[in-house]
Amino acid sequence: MLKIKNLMAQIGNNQVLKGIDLGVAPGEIHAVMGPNGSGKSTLGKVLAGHPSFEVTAGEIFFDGKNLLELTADERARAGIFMGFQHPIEVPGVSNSQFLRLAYNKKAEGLGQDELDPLEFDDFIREKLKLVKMDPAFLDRSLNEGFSGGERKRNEILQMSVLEPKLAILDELDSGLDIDALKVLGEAVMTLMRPDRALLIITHFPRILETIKPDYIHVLFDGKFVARGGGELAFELEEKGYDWIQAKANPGDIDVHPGGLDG
Amino acid sequence: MAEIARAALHQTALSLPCPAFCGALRKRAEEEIHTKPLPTSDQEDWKYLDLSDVYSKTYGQASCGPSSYPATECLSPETARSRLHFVNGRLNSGLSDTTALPNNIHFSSLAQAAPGIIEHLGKLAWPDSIDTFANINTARFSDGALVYISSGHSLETPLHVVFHSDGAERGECPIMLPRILVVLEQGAKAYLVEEYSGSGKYLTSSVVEIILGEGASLRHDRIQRESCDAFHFCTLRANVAKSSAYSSTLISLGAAISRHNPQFTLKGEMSELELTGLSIINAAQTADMHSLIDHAAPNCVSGQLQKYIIGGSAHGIFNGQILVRQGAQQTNANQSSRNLLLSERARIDAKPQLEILADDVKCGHGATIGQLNQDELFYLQSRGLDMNSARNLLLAGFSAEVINRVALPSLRQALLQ
Ligand SMILES: Nc1ncnc2c1ncn2[C@@H]1O[C@H](COP(=O)(O)OP(=O)(O)O)[C@@H](O)[C@H]1O
Ligand SMILES: [Mg+2]
Repeated sequence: MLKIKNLMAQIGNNQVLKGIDLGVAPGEIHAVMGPNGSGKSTLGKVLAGHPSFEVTAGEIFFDGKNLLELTADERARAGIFMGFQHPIEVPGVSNSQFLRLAYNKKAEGLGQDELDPLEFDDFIREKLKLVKMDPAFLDRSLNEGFSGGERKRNEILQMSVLEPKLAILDELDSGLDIDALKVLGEAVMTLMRPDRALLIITHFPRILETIKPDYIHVLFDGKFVARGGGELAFELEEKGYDWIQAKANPGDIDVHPGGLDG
Repeated sequence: MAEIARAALHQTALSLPCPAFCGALRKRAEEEIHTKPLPTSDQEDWKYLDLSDVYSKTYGQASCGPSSYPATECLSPETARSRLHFVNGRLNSGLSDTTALPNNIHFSSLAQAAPGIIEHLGKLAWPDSIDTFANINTARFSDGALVYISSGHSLETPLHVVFHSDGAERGECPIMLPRILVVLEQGAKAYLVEEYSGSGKYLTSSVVEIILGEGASLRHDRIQRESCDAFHFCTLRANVAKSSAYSSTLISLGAAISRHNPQFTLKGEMSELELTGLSIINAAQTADMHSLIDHAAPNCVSGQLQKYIIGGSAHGIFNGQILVRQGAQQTNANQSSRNLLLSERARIDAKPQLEILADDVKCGHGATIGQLNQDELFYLQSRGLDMNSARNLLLAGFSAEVINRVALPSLRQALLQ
């Protein structure tokens, strides 16, 4: 489904990604872990098509399409969803209006019927239940005045509306209390299907108790330095990233060379 | 004398009730036209505004023939029976209807007003205090709308005044001189919608005077969607008395050149003023807003939010003056000017001008000028909205803050589209 080869990217003069290889097959859950500043969010934003980052080498294919030739909105309509670490506020744009427009753009792309406001109202009520969000949030401006946790809930609400093939969730747990994390983690798992995949970006292993990854990739200074199965999360929790850093010789800690052929 | 003034003075104004009073007022205005220099950009108050197009036109009379104005379908249903409709300067009785109103509400054309009320004309917009365009109106206006609500009466039904112009003939540019007088006596309350529309070339110079008595309250929506070939000048003077409240939203969309010059005087304690404005201009349009809020009494509150969306090679001008006079302690005045430039050639001259002579006041102002926010665009695009939809959604969001204040639902909906 997703194939990344030798991806390098920079912002300004700062080379952030220094040769990333990653394969994700349908039905798989992958986690990218790593210390702060290692480039996790950058990887997500590059996949989503953020214009500030320049890809200097490598390639990304998604469902056989060259992702680097697609704009951010084309990638989204192709089925990629990025749940941001810090979702921004968009004052004046009503949450419900935005969600309906996003849904209808996707429906249009798939040749499906668009929903009018009343039909969308019924549709969104179900999604709100899934993420346990108060309908009052629909009438507010997109993320305006939302707490960190409320923004994350809103991100997963958007994900549930768009039902992406590949969801990249960046630090879903930041700003969430234990209960909210459980609700959202379970919502994400409810949306999982054999033909969909997840890429969970996280600094802390906590989220991986609800969203159990098949593969874990450890990012360090713009490169993957270790890969393994889900159990690697616990090792990281115990020993911290210093343990990886000490052994940071790519290939050294290849517990399972997972998912490279996705 | 400029062509515009010569052509205007050539027109004959309809006679109004109270001819002696009106005659004297008009004569004063005419004297001002003859003695005062025409506005040009080398005068401080007219800086940045290029009026050469206005001065180079040939002006003439509006056609009095039947108007092609399609009318009803574009009008708000809420005001079907509380509306005065002027077409090319004349009250159109077919389009006007005020049967929804109780007897104690005076909502009529000025020509039908009681003489005693007419004498309020010019009280606030006295000829020596207004510019030549407003004096042209004063010297030659034929008709307009009167809102007079006597003490203690409160009216929920919105009052709608429409000035429509489509009378351009033979390449001449007709001059439209709409006039509005609003008098709310003590404790009276009303909601007024003022609207300008039209097609073809013409020049509008309107004068609006608003007198609010103690404890009175006026909500005022103002929609300027003149033809894109038109020139629009509007002078507004409002006096806000003790404990009274005035709030207005001005949406300015049309006209090749528009100039608004509203001045508000907070004359009594505890009065409140809330002004919001949005101007959306494109191509080679120019929109100039020169406002003055005069805090002449203590303990008053004023808020002003002015927004511009400027595309093409359009040019926005905002000069927001706030004067807090010496005795006006405990004043709370806030002004905010927010501007979006959508193209390289779009231009804004935004200048707040605070003059504070009292020492115990809370005054704030801020101005922002920027393009559409790239992060916001990306966020929307990352959800599948193409560039155009994302831009439009952000622009709608920027506008909504002002448009949502428009109190007439059908008008608000039409503007949000
Ligand atoms: N907008 C930016 N401008 C400059 N440098 C940036 C920007 N975004 C990220 N970086 C740099 O890229 C590196 C990786 O950042 P990021 O991808 O956010 O890391 P992580 O998500 O793993 O904490 C950091 O050194 C950070 O300073
Ligand atoms: Mg990050």
